[in-house]
Amino acid sequence: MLVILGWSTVAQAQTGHDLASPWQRGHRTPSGAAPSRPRTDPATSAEVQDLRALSSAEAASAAPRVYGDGDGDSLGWDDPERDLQPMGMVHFVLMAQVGYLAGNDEFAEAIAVSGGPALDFCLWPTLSLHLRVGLRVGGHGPFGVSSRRLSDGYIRGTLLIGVHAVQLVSVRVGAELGPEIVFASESSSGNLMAGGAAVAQLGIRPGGHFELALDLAIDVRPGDELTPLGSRQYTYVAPRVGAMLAVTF
Amino acid sequence: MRSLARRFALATLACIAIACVAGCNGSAYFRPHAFVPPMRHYRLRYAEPSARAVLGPDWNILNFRGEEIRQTPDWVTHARIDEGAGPRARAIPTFDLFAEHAHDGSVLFVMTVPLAPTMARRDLRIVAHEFIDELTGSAIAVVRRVRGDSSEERLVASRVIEDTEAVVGGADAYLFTLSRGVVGSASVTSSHLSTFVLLRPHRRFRGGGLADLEDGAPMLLLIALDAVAERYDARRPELDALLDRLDVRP
Repeated sequence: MLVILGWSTVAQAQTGHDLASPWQRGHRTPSGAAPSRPRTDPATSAEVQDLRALSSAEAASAAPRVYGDGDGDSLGWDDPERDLQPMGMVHFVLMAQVGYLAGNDEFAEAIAVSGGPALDFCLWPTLSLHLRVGLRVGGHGPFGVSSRRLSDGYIRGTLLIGVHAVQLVSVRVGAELGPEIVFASESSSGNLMAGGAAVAQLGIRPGGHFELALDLAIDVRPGDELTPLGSRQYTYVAPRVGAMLAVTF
Repeated sequence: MRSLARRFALATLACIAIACVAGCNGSAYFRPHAFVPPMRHYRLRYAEPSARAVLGPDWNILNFRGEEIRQTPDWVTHARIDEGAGPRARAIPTFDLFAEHAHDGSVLFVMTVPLAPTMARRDLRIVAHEFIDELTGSAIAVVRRVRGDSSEERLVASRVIEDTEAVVGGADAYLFTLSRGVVGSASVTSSHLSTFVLLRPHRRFRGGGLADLEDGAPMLLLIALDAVAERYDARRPELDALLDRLDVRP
């Protein structure tokens, strides 16, 4: 039996409800307007006689009828905007970042290096709106020799919401938060403090699964410095500019 | 600290605005040059590219709400589909495209139908003939016309008036047209003409992703036009034009 109908029939038997096409079920649109009635109703009467005037064999033409205007030949099948989206609702991502943090009177300019895994949860496929949840492990190290030298290591949770749009572009915004161990220049031991950042990432996705992004952040840097009077703690907001490479699986 | 909070809020708002603007990049289905179904196993180039219109302005596409395909129960089919790892229950859109003509109620639809593995190599002519038999039974179908709580049955005679092999978008197809009419006491009055095109895409059905050349279930594309007899001649060229603009993905 033809599976076009058998498909519905079998599924109907298995699921126990009518799976025929909407117009085969007296379907009504949400507005209440009914689409056209079924015009392909399967036969249900056994006592009727065959009134087909032409048998299929008689009516079949010898040469196939060819459709096609040829205009599609010049169009490729690539659709970068969609091809660059890894398929599936959840993607595993590995990120690596290098960044520059501005300094101030109390903190030296610093290099930030980080990386870590993340998961992208697709929230709205047609817009490729997704939520990125991940971990970032990294550290800051100051440039050169300075009395304001400060280094730290951290692990932060990241939460970013983003889209892949306009073919190659990715845009994400979100925040990071997590503990940081701060090593001041004059301190012999690290102090555990909390650091964080408000993050924006603007990227291009040249290979679909690869993404190069500019990472812009307002980094909240914790600080700790020994003075003759004892330890001083700072919280300083530093602009961060970085490059990010992400690989999506 | 207040200054920091203000800067943070402004930066966040700016980024969200950028994300929203960039995110509104159009439909996943009505692409710049053509309508593309979720599995992207074919495309229907636009009759009016500037309007992104698959059909003329008199056609209303009912299975879309805006640019999103309807996922309400009326427009979804539940089926067990064997994509190679055994049958799995899936809920898939019944139609890729379902359009109704605003003036005469003609219907034109495209649906993708996954097949049982045993049907993968079945000759299209055979499939089409089985389909015709299924549609017409012994050639007279009982149409149940449900109107509210009441129903009425009418005998409808069908006959094949067109039956031919075809090539559509580079893929093998089979086209047939049925004339159907109400059986009266002394005559059969043709009331509807329905043209069906069964097409075998090159790719295989994968409910959760793009159609694939190797993996997935065999499938058919069913393109159909149904019109009242007196309007069929006006609508048929629109079906033919649609078939001319259909490209099957290699």
